[in-house]
Amino acid sequence: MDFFLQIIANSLVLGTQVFFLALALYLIKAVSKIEHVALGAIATACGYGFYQGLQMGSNIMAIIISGLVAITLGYISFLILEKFYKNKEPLLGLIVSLSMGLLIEAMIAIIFKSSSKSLIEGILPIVDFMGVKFTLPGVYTLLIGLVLALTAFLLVNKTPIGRTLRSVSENSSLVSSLGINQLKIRKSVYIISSIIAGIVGVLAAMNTSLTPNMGFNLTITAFIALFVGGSSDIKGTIMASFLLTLIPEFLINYAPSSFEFTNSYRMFFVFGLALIILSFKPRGIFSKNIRQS
Amino acid sequence: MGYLLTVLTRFFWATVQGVAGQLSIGMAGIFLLSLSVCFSFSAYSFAILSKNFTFSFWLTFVLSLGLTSLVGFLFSYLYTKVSKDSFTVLALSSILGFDALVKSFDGLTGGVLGISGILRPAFIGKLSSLAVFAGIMCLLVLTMHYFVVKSSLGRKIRAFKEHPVALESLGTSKDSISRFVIVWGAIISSVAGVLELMRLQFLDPSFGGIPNLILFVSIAILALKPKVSSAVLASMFVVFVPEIISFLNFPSQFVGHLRSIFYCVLLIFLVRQVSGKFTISKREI
Repeated sequence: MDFFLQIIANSLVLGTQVFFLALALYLIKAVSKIEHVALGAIATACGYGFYQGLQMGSNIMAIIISGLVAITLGYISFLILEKFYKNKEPLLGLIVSLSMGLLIEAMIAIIFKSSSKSLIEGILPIVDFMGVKFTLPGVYTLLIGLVLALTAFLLVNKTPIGRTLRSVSENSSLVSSLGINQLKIRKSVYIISSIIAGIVGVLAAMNTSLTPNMGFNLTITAFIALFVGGSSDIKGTIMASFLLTLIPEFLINYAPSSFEFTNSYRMFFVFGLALIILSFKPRGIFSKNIRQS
Repeated sequence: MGYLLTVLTRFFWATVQGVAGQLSIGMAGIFLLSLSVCFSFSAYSFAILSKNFTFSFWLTFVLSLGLTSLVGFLFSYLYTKVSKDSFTVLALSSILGFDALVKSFDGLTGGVLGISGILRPAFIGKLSSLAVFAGIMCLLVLTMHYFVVKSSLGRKIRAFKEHPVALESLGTSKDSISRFVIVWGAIISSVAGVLELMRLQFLDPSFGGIPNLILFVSIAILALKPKVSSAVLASMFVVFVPEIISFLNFPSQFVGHLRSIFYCVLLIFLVRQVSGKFTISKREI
């Protein structure tokens, strides 16, 4: 039973990280229709910014540097990708975003070298909750994730800001005619999404270690969660983020021993799940059927 | 001399891979990012078949092409089922999925250590003869591509990208065109995969992957015009320029990343240049 609960706990922490990134992707996709693959690399860059701040001997400096990195990269992403929104070419935007992400990773590898770095030296502090062990960064991840999920859900669905966001997504020309500056909204969304990605980067790096390409796997899982959950529904994204971490974890740990599933099967299971789900529900498991004119 | 022959062989398989990219991305508008999976899959299937069976080179080659075409069929089925965005993301994630599969089935694929000692047949035993062979295969692929581009099939493929509704109204199934493009693109990529495998004679999970994706997408975007000459010129630029740049005196920490940086910057620049010209924009009423 303890092992079962430990698996759920580990999946919850990883699922929360995936959800953070999926939320950031959802926000950008909502306003600009572009899949911003580079968010994983931005998360990694913020992690390295935090590391650099810690090397300078100050936690405040670490937060400031990683924040500045997130804002700068978010703004640069907006400048580069805005053209593809205007020309209604989201797939070209995806290609450019992918290239941006790889460029950021290459620059990180050049500046910091490819060897892994640790944000927390030594053994991670462990919190024991009813026999289930969480690392301290894992606890922070869950708490921040809970707050972020509730905030995002309420903001998007219950507030005027959320209504503006959804209206920019659904009918941007009408929004402009109502006097709302949609350019400013998109710019803000890019920066906020980069900050959210930066938080993921720092928390993930605290929980494991920092390597130049640690963000890519997480981004792809987040993307799949976005599409599997239904890219127009934030509830679906939240559910799919946790399903895509829980199911592979159970398959790896509870499959018959003859199968010998190891951790390296994880991405294969995520891809396989996405393949199966999207074949039957192309718009996502939580999508509604809509009449198309 | 060995270096020049190596670069030449790289140019030939890159051209073949670029043709697959030009066909799918440039002509049909299908962002078939899983071509790098097809590239790796064909190499792995060739290596596994040659290690476990005593088939001739040509039989093994044809079998690996056939197996890769099945992967193409899988992706063509997926293309008809999901949205374009979902398909593109799934195609991208298939690279990671395949990487995970290769690392996991280590009994067959050698896992992270890979498969070594893949022998070339006697007629391409030397690097010079391999370069000639790669050139002939490249020429064959380019000839077939030329006939596809110039035929009514080529026009239908371009119509699929520009006005799929008109294509359907003229009696051609969109699904059959997409299936042809994806499967044929997979087969062309598999040729490139085997050529590179013959050069390296070694295979590990880093074969193909994201660097291959960036390479063929760069060629596809450079060679947006559906012409054979565009594909050749584009791959010359993409293959030879980084080689020239590597002779410049960069600090040592840049050396391993020069090619990635070059391709990424090139791609960002190119795609921004072609944005707005990728599809024929419809007049908005």
